[in-house]
Amino acid sequence: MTAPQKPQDGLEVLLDALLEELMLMTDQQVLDGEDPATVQAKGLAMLSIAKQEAARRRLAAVKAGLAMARADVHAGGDKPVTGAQAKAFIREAANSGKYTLAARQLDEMSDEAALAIFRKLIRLGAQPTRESDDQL
Amino acid sequence: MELPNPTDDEALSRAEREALLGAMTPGDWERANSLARLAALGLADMSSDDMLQEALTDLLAMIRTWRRGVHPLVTLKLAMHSIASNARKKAANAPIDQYVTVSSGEEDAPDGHPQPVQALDALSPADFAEGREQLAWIEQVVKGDDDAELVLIAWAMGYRGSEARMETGLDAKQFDAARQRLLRKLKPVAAVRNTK
Repeated sequence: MTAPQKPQDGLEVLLDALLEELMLMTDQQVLDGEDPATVQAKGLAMLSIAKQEAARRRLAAVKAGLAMARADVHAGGDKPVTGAQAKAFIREAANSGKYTLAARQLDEMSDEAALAIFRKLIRLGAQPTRESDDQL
Repeated sequence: MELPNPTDDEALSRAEREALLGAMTPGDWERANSLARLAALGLADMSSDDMLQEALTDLLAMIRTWRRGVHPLVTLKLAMHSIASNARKKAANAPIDQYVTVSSGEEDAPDGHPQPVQALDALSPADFAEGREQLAWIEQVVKGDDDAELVLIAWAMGYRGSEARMETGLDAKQFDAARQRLLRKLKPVAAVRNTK
């Protein structure tokens, strides 16, 4: 038997091994007597909460980005917007359907490139959702 | 900005993530719960439900990358590992070790819980960050069940599936039973913390 590859860390090794075992097990073995409907309902309830929380976080990011943009315009471009804020704003603008951008492209984009697109979007009149605007 | 055709290593959109997570079977949700129980074990401020909830939220908030073609459980596992590692690093850098039950060294551990430790903790911050502390917790949980301990050790050594079984020297039936007992032993610990 060959020795396994060097682990990244102990927890990751255990999680990898557990996941592989879980994938080899049947649903019946994994559920181990739990009611499938109850387990699924709990999972979907968590997913629903996650959707709401994720939306709240996105709106907060947009709010921060827009506030920075307004300050930027006000200060004649002297006020710095961070790369992370610019990316959050671009991601939300892309998700609005009015603008398109590959997610990977955004993940791998430099802060400088994100800031350039951010400023372009602002010049083009990119706006947050009504809900987020109400919160500003 | 032009949207190129999706490729395999491109991250999924939010709608795609929601659809894949929403389509998970009851078995997959229970698999996710098992992974969360392991990832959250030993974390003072996070139950397994908290762990899974945070991973789902991070993925839908687009904070974590999800490559196209990667199974939801693999992505959830990566997210939970990252969340757990960050929580451990944060705790290990804190001035007080919040993970241990301080003991005079005389009393026994409550059922299903690791032994209390002396106020002076021998584990270094690196132990927390590298997951050795996690292993110590699970070893306590399976203590006394030799076969389950063998399965755990094989996993910790990086062996998987049939290799792990061969490493333990157990036959298929014994291995399956020991694995099932190991997973069951993690449930009460997680259940106590999820209700807090």
